[in-house]
Amino acid sequence: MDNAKLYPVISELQQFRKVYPPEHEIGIEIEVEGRNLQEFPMSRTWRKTLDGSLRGEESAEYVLHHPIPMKNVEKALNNLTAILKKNNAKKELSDRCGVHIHINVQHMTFMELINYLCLYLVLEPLLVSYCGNSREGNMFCLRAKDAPTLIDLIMNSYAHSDLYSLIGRGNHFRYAAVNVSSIRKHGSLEFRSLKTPKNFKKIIPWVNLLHKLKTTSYTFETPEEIINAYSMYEYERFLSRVLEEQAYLLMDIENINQKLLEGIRLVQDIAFTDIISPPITRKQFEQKKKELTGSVFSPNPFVFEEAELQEAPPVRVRVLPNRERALIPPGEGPRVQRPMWAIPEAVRDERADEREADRMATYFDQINQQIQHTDTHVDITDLPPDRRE
Amino acid sequence: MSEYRGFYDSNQMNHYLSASVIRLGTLPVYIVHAGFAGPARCILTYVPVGDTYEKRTEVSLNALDLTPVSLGFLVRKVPSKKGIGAIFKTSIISRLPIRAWKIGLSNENIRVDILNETGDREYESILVSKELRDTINGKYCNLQEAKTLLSLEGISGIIPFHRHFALEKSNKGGFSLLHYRHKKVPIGEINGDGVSLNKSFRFLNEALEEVLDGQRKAIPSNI
Repeated sequence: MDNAKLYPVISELQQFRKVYPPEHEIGIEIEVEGRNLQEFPMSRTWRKTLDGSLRGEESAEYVLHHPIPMKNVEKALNNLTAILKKNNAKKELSDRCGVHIHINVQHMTFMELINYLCLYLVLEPLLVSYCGNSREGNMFCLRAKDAPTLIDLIMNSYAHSDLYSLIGRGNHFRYAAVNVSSIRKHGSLEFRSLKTPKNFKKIIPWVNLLHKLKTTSYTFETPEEIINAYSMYEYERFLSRVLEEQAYLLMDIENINQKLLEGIRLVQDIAFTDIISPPITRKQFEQKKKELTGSVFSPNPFVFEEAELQEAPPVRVRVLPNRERALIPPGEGPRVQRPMWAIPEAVRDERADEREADRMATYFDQINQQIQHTDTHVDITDLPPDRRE
Repeated sequence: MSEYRGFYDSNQMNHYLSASVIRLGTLPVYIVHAGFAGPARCILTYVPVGDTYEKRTEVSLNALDLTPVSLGFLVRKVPSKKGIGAIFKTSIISRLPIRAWKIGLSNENIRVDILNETGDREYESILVSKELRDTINGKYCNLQEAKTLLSLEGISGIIPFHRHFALEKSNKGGFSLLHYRHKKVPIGEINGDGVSLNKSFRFLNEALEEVLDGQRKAIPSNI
């Protein structure tokens, strides 16, 4: 973690809605098909959402409200099991149902993130085999071997030390077994390979494996060191070096040596990429921040101004003579504009959508409140034509 | 209706499979239409990749190989404009991790990197081309044949000898080695019988040796 002192961390390079404490590392999404899944009580830990890709008589996706510390994973899963049991839920699981584990990377530096990705990709063929035959080549979680464009993406990002080229590609890499697009949205790497098990306790070893990879990745300075470690040891010793006591989980997989070699061959291309520009140091980062302070840009040109991320501007209410009130849609007043070229297209689109949705939600809330509290008539002719309905 | 291999009705099966390339046994096929035909069986209308005629068959769902097809260099031989010889137009084909409701290789999830400067945009559909069939099946000439071909008068372009390795005439008179991940950047040279990798690409030595060893042992191809 000393690198964090030398280099800025992801949460400084990219602005998130919320930065969680470093120990809150694990986020879990569990997709389930079956019966009696719809009724879900208010819970402090879990919430129920819907997922369009699921089928079955009933389907649901259970998501942790916030990332939780590693030590609380078992408790949280027991909690969900108890809720489903109380509801007499019946799980009928298909290949569509998966468990998506989010590992918080907000406090990692760019190089630590690349090391984590590389270490995972070395072991990916083994890890996906561990998740079961049906996950190999599954279109919901394609391995880097099946969709190698992910390797090109990481190579390019590593060569230029450019976080945005890795995470700013919209959802083009969402269905890879490791989803890097999730960093932009949640500040986490999403691992999608595990099929939902009947017994949720089976999720724990998978979370342990992914978490162990994260902690081990801190021990490598560069991806090249990972390759060198493989060259130095036999595969068994390499796995023990990387996964320590959890290596036994992968030891029974068929063609273990061959699969490990496949992973190594993929990561070699990243590890031996010529570095065109090294990662920005904290000193350079602070310097750049200082230079840009007071200008129209925020320190990071790809991050929105603080003012822009605040809630939508309040709705201005104009009192009309005949006691009717008209509401002026928000966003009409003067606003600080920033040059659009400074924001990557994907980020721009998504942020624009989100802000528009937030603005409209606030706007309609205001209308509802006005109607409920004042019992007055809203003159829709004052609204823009596309919002009159 | 019961669910078989993730398909729960004919419509959904057709959405997932049509207009994409999967394998029927070991044969790469472009699915035109798919639907259930009783328990664990399906009716397929398909074009074998590289063929021009539609076929219709009823098979067990277990006969469908839904794992992603192997990709890499794709080469197309076109006659030279001078009338003598040929140009080998080479692209790199890879898959994007986009779902877009298709299990197989489709227009939505295919990525084509064209290597030749003149480009190669003459395909009506790359998904049914015989060149894609050769790429999926890993059918390439060997290194010796690639060298011989490039030495002939009127032959130009890039000739792959494996899905990950290709050969190009170098300016110095020998041949440059290319790797599918490094695209147009030469990773080494071939002069006479000697293969030498550039310093920064020595890590590819083991993979290249494996390919060449395999070719030495194999029966020569007839390309």
